Amino acid sequence: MWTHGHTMRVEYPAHIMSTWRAGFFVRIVGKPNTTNWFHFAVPTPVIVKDKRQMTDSVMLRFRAGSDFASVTNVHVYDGENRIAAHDGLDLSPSAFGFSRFDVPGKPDVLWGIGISVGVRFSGSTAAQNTLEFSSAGCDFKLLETVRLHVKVLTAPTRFTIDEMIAGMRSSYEPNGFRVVRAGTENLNLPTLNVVDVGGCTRGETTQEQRDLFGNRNNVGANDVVAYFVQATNPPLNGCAAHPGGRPGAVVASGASRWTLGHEIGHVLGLNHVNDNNRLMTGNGTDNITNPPPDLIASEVTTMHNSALTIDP
Amino acid sequence: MPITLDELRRLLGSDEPDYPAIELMAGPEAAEHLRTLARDENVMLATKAVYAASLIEGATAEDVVDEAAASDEPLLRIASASALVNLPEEARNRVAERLIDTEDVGVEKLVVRALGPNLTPRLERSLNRLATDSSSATVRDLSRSKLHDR
Repeated sequence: MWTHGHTMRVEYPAHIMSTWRAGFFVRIVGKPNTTNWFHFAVPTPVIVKDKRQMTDSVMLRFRAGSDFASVTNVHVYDGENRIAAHDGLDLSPSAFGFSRFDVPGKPDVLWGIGISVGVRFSGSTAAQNTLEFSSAGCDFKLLETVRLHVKVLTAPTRFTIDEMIAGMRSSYEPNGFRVVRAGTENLNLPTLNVVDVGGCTRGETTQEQRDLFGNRNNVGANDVVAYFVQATNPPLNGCAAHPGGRPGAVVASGASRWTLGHEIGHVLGLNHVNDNNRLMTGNGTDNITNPPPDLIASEVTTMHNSALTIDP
Repeated sequence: MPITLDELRRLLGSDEPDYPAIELMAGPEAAEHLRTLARDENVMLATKAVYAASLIEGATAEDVVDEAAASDEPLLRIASASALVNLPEEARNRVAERLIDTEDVGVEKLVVRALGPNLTPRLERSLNRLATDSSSATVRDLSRSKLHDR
């Protein structure tokens, strides 16, 4: 869905020298050495054919009079909730192009999409401080969903859980699977913080794994749980063996950025491969050579066929 | 053909190393390689090397586990505790004495489980302490059970 540029609203009109709305775009001339926020309300089809839409990304078409007029931030809101923030930008295209900004996690759209664009004017002339917006838009998609619950006994040390989920999304989303962080819970279970995983063999679990995976508060039958522990016994980065009907994996505190996605890949039915370009490498996700690691077509088919990837 | 340092690094670099396969492939010559890997700056690799060393017979391999027990790095101490169960009793007791008083529930649990019936006086004292004073009911129960069964 798109909206035309001349629908844009300026947050701080006092920072603006002039606004010209024409059929083709809105031209804003900012006062020297000012910043501002420009807001676009995007018409939002929340439910289409009984299916709630998911927010994939937003787009802007704009051009700048000079490098002294730039877009510095793009924030995406669904109603009052900010669902994406791209900061630290410095975009001053000289011609109308097409800039896309990802919305991580592809969240359900609930209330209507707004795009808030942070801008900076640092030139000395009106020509230098000109920005022109022709349109803004949002792509909606329907993706299969992995609902991931995070249960933390010990937080990971090398990468944050957010970084691990972002890593997982970077492999899953291009292949049509969104990863929804459905919940987070801290578990105070010191004796399971070093959890016995035995041989970590699919279909076989230890008593400690059964005890740990019994913690499924607020978890649906087809939701998967990642238990973040200090360590496993014996030492592994993670282990996807889980009791029947309690899908999930453990992730050790020293795991790599990709271990979470790798272990959940096992939970979804994937096996190891001997290829360090791929998420399911058996040679260690610390050795992935071309991030983000790939999933191949047959793996995507396996994931589609899993009951744990939920149709939209 | 003897296993090389690079091959061990590759095998242990896996997210889920196949320890039984590594045990089959690694002869006594692997112990020095594992000592090297157990000192690697990649702590996860080091922990896996410590455990793998426990699967190899010989004094060098036992030293790798012992050195990890004395480490300041908690994950290495945990790996050492994981490895105890694979060591011969004398070495197991020696390393267990280093680990059992670290006041880390995860380590205590693994150490107590690994102990055999022949306890050193120091281990027996530590078990008696854990049986009453450990912050973990699991460790208290394990300690009592171990003392009862010896």
